[in-house]
Amino acid sequence: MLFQTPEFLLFIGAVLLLYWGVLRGRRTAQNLMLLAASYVFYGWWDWHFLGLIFFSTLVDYVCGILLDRRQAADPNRYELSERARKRVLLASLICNLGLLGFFKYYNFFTESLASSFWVLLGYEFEPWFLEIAVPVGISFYTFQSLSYTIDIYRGKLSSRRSFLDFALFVAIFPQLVAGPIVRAKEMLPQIEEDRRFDLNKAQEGIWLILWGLVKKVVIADNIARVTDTLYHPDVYNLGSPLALAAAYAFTVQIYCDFSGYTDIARGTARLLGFELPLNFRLPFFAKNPSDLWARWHITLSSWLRDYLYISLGGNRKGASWTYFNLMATMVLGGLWHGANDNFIAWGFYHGLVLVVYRWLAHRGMSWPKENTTLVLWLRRLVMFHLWCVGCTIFRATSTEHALRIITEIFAFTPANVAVASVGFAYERLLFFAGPLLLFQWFQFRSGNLNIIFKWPWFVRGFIYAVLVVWMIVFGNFHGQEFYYFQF
Amino acid sequence: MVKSSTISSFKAWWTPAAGLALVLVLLAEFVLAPLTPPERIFAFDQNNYERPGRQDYEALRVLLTFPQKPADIAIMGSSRPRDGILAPLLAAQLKLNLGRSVDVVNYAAVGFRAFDFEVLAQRLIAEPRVTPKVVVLPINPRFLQEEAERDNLRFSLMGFDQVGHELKTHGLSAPLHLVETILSNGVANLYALRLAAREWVEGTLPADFKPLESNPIFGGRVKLQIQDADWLRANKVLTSLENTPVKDEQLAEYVKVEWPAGVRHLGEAETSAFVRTLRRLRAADVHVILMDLPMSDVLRAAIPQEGLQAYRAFLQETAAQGNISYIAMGQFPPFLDRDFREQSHLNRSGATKLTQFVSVVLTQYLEGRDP
Repeated sequence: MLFQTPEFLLFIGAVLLLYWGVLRGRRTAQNLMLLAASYVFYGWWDWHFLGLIFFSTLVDYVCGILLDRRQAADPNRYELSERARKRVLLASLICNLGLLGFFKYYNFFTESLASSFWVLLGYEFEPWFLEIAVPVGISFYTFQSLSYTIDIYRGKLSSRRSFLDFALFVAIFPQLVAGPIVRAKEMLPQIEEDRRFDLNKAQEGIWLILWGLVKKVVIADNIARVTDTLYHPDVYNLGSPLALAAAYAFTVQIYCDFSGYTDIARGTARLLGFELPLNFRLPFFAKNPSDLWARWHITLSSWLRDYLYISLGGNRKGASWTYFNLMATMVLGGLWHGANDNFIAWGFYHGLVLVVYRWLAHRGMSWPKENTTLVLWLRRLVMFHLWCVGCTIFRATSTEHALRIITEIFAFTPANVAVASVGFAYERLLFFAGPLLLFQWFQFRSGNLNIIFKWPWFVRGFIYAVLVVWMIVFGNFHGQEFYYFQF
Repeated sequence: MVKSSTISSFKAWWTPAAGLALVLVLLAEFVLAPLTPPERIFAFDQNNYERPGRQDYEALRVLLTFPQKPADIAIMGSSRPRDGILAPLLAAQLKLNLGRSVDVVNYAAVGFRAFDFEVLAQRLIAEPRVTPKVVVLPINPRFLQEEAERDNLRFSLMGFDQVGHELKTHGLSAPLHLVETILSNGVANLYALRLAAREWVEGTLPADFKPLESNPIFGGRVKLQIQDADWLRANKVLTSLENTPVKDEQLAEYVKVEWPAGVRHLGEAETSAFVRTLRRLRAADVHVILMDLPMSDVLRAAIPQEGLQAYRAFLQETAAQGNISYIAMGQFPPFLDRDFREQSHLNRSGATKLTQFVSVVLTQYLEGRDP
């Protein structure tokens, strides 16, 4: 079930009616109904995979209890020895990452293994491939669920006795398939609290849903026509203007597609009385590589930082290890997206950008040193273009394809009008991305993502109307999946 | 630092901003969109076959919302008459025969069957600006078959009142095309702009596209007719059964479409919707000319003759009871293998032949003779 379809409208309508109407004030019943609704929401794609979510939930629920079992005599001491607790955590990691690895990476590694055997040993074998789709959102809910056991192991969270509450934390539908990746310590307290309908939250929620829908069905899906044309693998010699347009177009598309989903998820959660973490904070305005990762897919970046980068040692072991840890984190972050050369290359590229930035900063070699407005905007411009290169690697059908497009940008050749006219690409980019950038500039300048609520009511009314008309005339409601569903 | 603030002042569950937004959207619907010139509203390509089936219904919907001129003759039916009757040729032929201009529109749409006929006829009758004087309805057995699989493309043609009837009659057994139905009924003007906007986004309109002439619904040619015309100009031989003989397994596929096993060929609900609609048209003073559609000899021979006879007998009886003209296959000029693109669709040669025959039938009717 996709957010932008009439089915979801009916679904959320029915859920809200039950939730705030029939079950108002009865938290357990509300949670039970939400869990059932979440399973229906997920099972809409393929009910067979419900078993996976349930299994993951059950494993982490049991592991959580075992990890947090305290001695009767001294509640400050765990019942299990440190070694046994490590084993329990390992079991949780193996189960979760095992499932993730099996469904997501099995084919990739089998194929790689087969080609390695052939190249290195001259031995050919026919790999056995898994012929099923990757379960939607498995990377998201696996990480979410893992944060629970890891935090308990680290003593940052206590285990939960209520299976219902924990199952709801893992499966709650707004963010289930494409994030934000919510930590147990953020979400579980909200699930365990009584919720009351808050009109302010509801209004903000509706605004987030409207804005998210516009980002997805108007901006992302329409710009997708441009990217589909320019990134077609059979297209050669785009010429510099079109190659650059390809990079710009996909950067805008992926941002609007993904942040659109997040906005709708956050808005829907607010209608249910929950607060989901921010996942995007105006990434077009990032001024350096570190700043980018504090603005783009924030919940994944912070998850990788807290559970991977810091576990690897972070920056505690000296410069060389810091660079290595940064690179390893980014490559694994790339691999998290899927088993594909592109994603690994994407991770490597961003790792390299981060390492170079750190190395330069470490040596005081950042240039220019002044932080004038002009310099800041120049930095943002450079960062934006570095990000566009990353997005090209991400979108291209292979690393060779990505290199081809990136090389064409710098070849300074005229546009190949047989593929598309320059007008076709840039007119659409301007028409769809222009208003987005304008609005984000107001958000950025004011330092307030909810700037719209500071504006007079008639300005807000005008903006709502423009967005609704824009959506009616240009919206794609034919179930174009969100880009990040594949992850 | 960017922060995520909350609203400090909230008065009621609806805000003046939301109210203003609603007013402005309605303003756009009722004031701005109708001011948009027809060249913009009809600037979508009915011949874009990447949108299977849907485009014919979208064209119909927009034409029903923005009738350009009252039509004298409306062709209805499936893709067979859509491909098989050349509206510009028919209009020219009628002008020649009658000595006056006759407006012909081709409302035929892919997959059009009895229930679609009911919905479209109701819309045409309900709005006098689009009610034709004569409906030409060439059909084949599939038109009245019980629908095993159906896709309610007609939903985008429905008014909200028809949606209720549809759900009551057929339930939720087919895709409802809710977005099209809601938008086309709720904000019909903006919906029309939406179709034109899609063409701009996709950038696939041919350079020589003329909104009020190119689409088949205005008498423009369908894609395959354009192709045939190009081939004729280039002295190429048209695709026909003569030069691409069909294989047995292909024939079986055609039979499966035309006369599938295990399906009632005169579906109860379908036939009653059909009869009901014919009566409504007659009551609205619209004359109906019901016709058989040509099919290849091979295909006709592959269909159980008993069933085909029962089907024809039903049409004959219905026509007689409803004071409707019925042109049976036996009255047709012979259609040869070279006239068929495949077993049931005509190529340009066949379409020209059928159009000329229809023009004769219509001339007789319009001159006051029994066709």
